[in-house]
Amino acid sequence: MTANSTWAHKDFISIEYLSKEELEIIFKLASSFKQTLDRSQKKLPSLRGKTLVNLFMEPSTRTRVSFEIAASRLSADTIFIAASASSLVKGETLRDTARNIVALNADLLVVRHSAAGSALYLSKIVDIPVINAGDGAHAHPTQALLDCFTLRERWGSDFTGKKVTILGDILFSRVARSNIWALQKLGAKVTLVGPATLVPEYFSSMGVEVSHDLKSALVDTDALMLLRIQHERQTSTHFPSLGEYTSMFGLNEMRASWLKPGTIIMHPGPINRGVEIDSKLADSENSVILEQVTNGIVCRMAVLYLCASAVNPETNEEVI
Amino acid sequence: MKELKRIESVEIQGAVKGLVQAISECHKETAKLIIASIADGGIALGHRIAQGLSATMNRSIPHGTVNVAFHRDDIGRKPIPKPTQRTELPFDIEAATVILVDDVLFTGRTVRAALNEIFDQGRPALVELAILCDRGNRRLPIQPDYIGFTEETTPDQKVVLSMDAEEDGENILTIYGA
Repeated sequence: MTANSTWAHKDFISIEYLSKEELEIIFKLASSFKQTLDRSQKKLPSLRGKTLVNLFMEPSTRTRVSFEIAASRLSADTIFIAASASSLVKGETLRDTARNIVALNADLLVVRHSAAGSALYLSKIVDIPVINAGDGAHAHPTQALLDCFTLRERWGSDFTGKKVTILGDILFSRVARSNIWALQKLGAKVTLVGPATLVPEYFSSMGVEVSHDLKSALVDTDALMLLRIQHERQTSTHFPSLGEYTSMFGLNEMRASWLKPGTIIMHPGPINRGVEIDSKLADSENSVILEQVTNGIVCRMAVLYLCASAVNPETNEEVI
Repeated sequence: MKELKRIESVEIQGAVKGLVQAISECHKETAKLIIASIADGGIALGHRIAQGLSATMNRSIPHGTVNVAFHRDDIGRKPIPKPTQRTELPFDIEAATVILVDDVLFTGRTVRAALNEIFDQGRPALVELAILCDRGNRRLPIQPDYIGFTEETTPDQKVVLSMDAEEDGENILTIYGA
């Protein structure tokens, strides 16, 4: 990377469209931002005067707050629009809502929506950067960034030879899909494990190993990512009861003893304590769950910074 | 770009000594004197100046770094900051005298960014600027207090300093042009 490296993407929709080198640019920038977190003056002036709109059509606390903090650390103003408070409930279409936001002179649009492809759709109809904060079960690219950034702080930039196991509700998980793309680009091997109804065989077409045997998946893994059971996306029953899921696939002390010492335990949150993970393990020293939250801020700062500063090739001239 | 001019170690070492002498003469009585180098270009020079001042003034002069990446005004043109050393001023700069150090002074924009970064950390009593090579072509009303030497250049030329943090290392300043 040289001083003149530029970022070519207006929007941030999915990890799928990024190269390993581009991921590395984001991580390096996030790492510079992380160094500023412990200062007494935490605000950086980079996005001063810009306005970011958080358009959240699905409930979210940590992602929304994380984007808000990231934007405010870069001196941007943030406006939050929730589905219930917007004109969408009065019958306005998503397209019109987005175009109105642009007409209000917003500079960046962060969108979460229950429909897969909604962020990509908006990116094509508005000319300001659109950042995907989760679209249906498709992608949650900034979550994958912060997960990989957390692993990168321990493993360095090359994940070759590392095995990451993702356990739980893969079928409905945009986090899993984004992480599969990111981890593979960085060189890691990915194994998905969980009940057959939630971890369908067709995921193997993404180049991952699909397993329904927890023990064999856990014994040699270097990091274990747990996923929340997404009740809200399940229209039919994929397992008899939460209790049964916990008894078969919940991470308890006995199952954690199968892991190699020092295996990193991750969870994108919110945690259902006692469902996917025992309370004690969530707070154990191998758990990096809270570190993931902090890293979420700096990764989102990097994404906002890069999207806001994407170079228009026509005006990309050397200036002094 | 071809090499137009090269300034070798001896001349550069002389310039560094001159900077040390000038700063020490002005700040004989200054109690809280701090050297702050602009990352990465000014770090080796700042180190040398701090070493020289410590020896000349017979007391330890602290040396820190200032990272200007996020205060730049060229976002959208050269958007990705180079990964440089973080801002590290391992001492209280409140009411201190800060000598800001950089290798080459050109438009003055980097110095403007460095001043903002310093004031994010505290409120020094006085900030001065020490530069090894002033290449002219300023775009802001910023002038150095201590200059090693001056070179006349045009805006499209490039001035590159390669400097070792230790005194006996090799130092070369090269000017490239079309």
